[in-house]
Amino acid sequence: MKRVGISLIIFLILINFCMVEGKGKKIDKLKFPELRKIEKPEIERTITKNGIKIRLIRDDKFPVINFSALFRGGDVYSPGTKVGLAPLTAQLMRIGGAGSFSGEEIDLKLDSGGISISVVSGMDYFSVNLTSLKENFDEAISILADILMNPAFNKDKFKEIKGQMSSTISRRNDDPSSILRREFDKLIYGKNSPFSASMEYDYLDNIEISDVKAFYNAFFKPSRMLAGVTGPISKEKIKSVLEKYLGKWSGKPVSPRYPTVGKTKYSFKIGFAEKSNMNQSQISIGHLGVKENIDEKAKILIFNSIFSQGFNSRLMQRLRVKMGLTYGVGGGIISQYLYPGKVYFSTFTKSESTIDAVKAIFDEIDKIRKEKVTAQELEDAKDYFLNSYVFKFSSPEKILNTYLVREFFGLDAAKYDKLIDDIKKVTADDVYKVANKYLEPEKMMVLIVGSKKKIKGKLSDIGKVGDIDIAIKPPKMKEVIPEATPESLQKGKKIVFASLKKNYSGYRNIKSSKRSSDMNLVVQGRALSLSTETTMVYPDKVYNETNVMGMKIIRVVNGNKGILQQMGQKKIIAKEEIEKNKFGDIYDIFHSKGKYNFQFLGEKKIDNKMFDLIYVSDKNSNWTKFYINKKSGLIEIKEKIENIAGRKGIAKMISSDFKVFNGIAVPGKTKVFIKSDKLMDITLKDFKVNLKVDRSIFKIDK
Amino acid sequence: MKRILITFLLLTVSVMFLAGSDFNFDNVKKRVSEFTLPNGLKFILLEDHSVPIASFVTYANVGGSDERIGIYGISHFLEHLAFKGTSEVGTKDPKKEQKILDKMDKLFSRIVMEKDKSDTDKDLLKKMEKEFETLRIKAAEYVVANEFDSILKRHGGVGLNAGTGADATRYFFSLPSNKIELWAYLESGRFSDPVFREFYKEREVIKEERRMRTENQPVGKMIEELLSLAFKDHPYRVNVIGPMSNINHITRQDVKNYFRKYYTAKNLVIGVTGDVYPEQLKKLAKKYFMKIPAGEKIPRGFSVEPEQLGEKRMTIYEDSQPWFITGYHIPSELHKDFVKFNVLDYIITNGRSSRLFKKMVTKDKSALFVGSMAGFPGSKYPSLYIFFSLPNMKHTTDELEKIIFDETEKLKKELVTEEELSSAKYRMKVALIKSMKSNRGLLMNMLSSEVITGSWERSFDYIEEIDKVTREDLQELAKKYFTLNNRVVVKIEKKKEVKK
Repeated sequence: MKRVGISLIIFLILINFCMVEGKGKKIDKLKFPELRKIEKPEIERTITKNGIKIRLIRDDKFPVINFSALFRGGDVYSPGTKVGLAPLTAQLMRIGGAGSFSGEEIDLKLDSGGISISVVSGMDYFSVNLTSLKENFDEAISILADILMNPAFNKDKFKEIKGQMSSTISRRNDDPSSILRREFDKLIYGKNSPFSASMEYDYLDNIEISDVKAFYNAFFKPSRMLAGVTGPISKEKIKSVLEKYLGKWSGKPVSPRYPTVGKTKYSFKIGFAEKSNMNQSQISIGHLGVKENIDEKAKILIFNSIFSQGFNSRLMQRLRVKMGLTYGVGGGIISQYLYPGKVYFSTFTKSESTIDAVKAIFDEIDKIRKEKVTAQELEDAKDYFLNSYVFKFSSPEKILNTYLVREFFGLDAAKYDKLIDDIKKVTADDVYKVANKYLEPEKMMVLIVGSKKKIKGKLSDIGKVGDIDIAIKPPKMKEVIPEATPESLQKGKKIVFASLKKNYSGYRNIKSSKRSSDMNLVVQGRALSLSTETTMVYPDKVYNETNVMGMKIIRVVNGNKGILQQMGQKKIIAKEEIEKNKFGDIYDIFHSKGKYNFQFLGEKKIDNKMFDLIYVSDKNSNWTKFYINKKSGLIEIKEKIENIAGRKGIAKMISSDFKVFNGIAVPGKTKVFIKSDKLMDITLKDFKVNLKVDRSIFKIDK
Repeated sequence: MKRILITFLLLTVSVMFLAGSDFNFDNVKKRVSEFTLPNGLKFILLEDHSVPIASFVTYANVGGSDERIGIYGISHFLEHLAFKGTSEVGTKDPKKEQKILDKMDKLFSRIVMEKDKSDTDKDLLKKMEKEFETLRIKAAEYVVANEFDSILKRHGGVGLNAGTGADATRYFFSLPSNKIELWAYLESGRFSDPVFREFYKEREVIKEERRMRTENQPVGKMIEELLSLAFKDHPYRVNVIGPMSNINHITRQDVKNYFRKYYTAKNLVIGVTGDVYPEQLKKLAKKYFMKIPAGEKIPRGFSVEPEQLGEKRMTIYEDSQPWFITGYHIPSELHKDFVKFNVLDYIITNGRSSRLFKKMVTKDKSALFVGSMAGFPGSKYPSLYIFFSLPNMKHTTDELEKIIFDETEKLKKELVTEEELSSAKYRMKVALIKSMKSNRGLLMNMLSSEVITGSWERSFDYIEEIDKVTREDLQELAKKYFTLNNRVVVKIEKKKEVKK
């Protein structure tokens, strides 16, 4: 009897056990041994004489050394009119040459040593990463040292990167998910916020090489360098290597202000970015989040795990598994260390089911804010964090990286170390509170990228819809010119050649010329007087001498070679630049058949005079605009991109007081403006045609 | 004087060869053990006891290249369903559930049949579809959603995922090493007794995946077109995800048949790495994995791509900036030439100092990027050596094509330099050493070598083959394969808006 009683009790316990566990399946009968203790490797710390902090985990398993370093800096510090400055700086450091080596030489040294080095600009940091075999480590660090201490900022490389960045801008609307990310950040942080601003052609154009140098100088200093090393190397050795190659590096970093996030306000709830060739919508829903708060972190991790992250999350269950609406859904309460993160959820679904997907997400948000999560959900989420904790220590690199991030962002390491204990304490009530504190559905913005036409149902049922323009802003310097038609091209050509015939026919058979002028130039608010004289032997020889404040600047072009002499220094003028300078020259127009397009843009009345507007361009997208006086046929105004004493922009050149020399109309006075600022005043002194020229002035010696 | 110079040169060259040579691959090989169960299932273990974790890979020797018309996309479909559980995992009542699933299958075959008719009875179809939806909702009541995944997660499992390629399907996850038996239980369960539940909703998920990867991304479209253009009678002809029509047409019975045929012990290899001992693994393998039927090794596909008669090209006019891919037919990984293409790769596009990168990205700035690879989309069968590149602004795909073409012509006329070749070999060795830091990456390579070439050791030994490659070999290679008739070119060009 007693026995039966005990069996019964055991039986009841078992049943009870099964009910708690849910199934009483085979799986629950598996018994696992305790996980053996993790042996955490020691993190060694040291510092070089010039202040480079070093953190090391020695690991002798493989002859490979991983070296990384963090610096304060990054994208957020790029000025609003120069977005892209930070990544440009990082890239130029890496490929623009350093020390006594050109960029190509460094590439070759790295490749042949099997060394990889990268310089990366993150949102609020710069990082430098190096991987090398132990045997090449000294060589690798010596190259890195050059990159960090003596970057060459080569001008051609600067242009190369700018060109690539422009290209990237032109490609940014090809991938739907990247449109979503970019435009959603703009909705959340505001269009021109440092936390969301995207590169534009005009911003790139604003960046000068001096900006890059200044940016580098502000951030890359030894006292700001936090280095992490893993591999078969001792503390003493890494310290001595860094002191050997980076020991002479000094200088004080600048501490720029960290930007803040501004307020945003919209007259709509749903932003719609049209991309009509899509048959799927990309969707994000959310609002501005918060900065990381370690006291709340455990609760937020559990919330995210239950609600939106991983295959078992509620959103995945609902949208993917139950409704078959999507392949992926994710997001959550995402915090950042230095600035407010986002609370957002993203997915994609066929165009037809867009509204279903948006509604399902809002519905789940509603639910988790109204009802507490189940005990099972909570337990599963906690078990996951507790049991997978060991993976935080899966490799020395991972351990070191966690450590570096904490130190770099000044996090309270003691608090982070007890995160796992905090997780054990999270209750369903905590998760409920997190949902209600951090998720505010009425404030949430929706962004959809897709084809509006294909969507079933009314988007306006969810909220007011506003269009998001994703068209890439053309560079202002290029202006928007209407598409050319055969008619407009024909008409333009006719007008230009009529003008040339009437007023400039002397250029047709010209042999040589000499022009002297006086100039007033405004540089940074100061006026400068110059005199200049240009001698030409057509088609391709130019000698120009400019005198300014007793200084002589000589520019000689002979064929495709050119040279600039100034204060005893000589600089070669690139072939491309010579070619570019010819562009729009009346002589060149006369003598280059097929090079130019003349597009008639219309008529314009200025100061009671009527002008024909002609857009002159070539296939290299050089352009200039002619304003041809309808009555006189004179080209009175020209517009083109110029760089005058550091001011770059569309310059307007207004000419008057024309005089005729041998069938060539030459302006007696020319004023040059960029925007409304008058930058130059030119007065013609003399113009001679077909004079005898001593050709030795065109000689270019090497 | 001259002699001294030569000696010096020889010295530098041999120094380069010796570099990295203090690293002994045998030390890594020593950590590897293997055994095969009586049913033919092979296990490969790469030990590493530094951290108490373990990673697992089930490598199924089946992929897109095993499919036929009508079921294109089924390998990938099956991969999705392999996460849906077994008769023990993922259900509240396996028997009752099975009954409804059977009913659904029958009804669904009738629906498909009706749809395929030329004179579809629309009313009947509607009726059947309605009935089907009722059954589906009923079946769903028995489902314990995502149980496979949630068990793993609860026990600290990370990185649960899978990937389907043209050659193989790989399933992987990691667990704390005290939970190895959980892996053995779950993994052996899903590959011996899977229940392909929630099939019909999963189909919609897969269709979304296709829309995302292939239909709404310029490069996705491009790759699908490249394959169908390049191959005529070849297992690589169709993109792994499959065309929409086939995804829509595949039945649960199709998947069951496919599973029975390919997921047999002889077509699977199991890889384990981490804090696991051979004896421990053997014991668990015997206990759990013997239930996977032996089956037959699936013969290789019989179709053989005939020699291409002439150059093939295609231009996709698309709302996208331009892209460029060109490919040449090459033999499979088993052929002695394959490894030479890997060497060539390092010389012409791998690294900023490689020939094409330097020329196109650095010098004339015609390209934003240029890359190449041997073995696209797989390497089990003869495949393609492809070059891909994006033109920089103001440059055209025509320019890229010409530069790449000129370079392949140059390879035929002039030998690559000794420095280029030795640098390529050195870098390949360094890359191999660096890759050894990741146990899982190394394991994946070993499994693929094991299945395709018959020996996991080849993922180390190929470095010896590489050492033997000569400059003349590469010249011969270029002459043999880089011919116009052997070439395929696919471009994306920006669609011009029609202005009114």
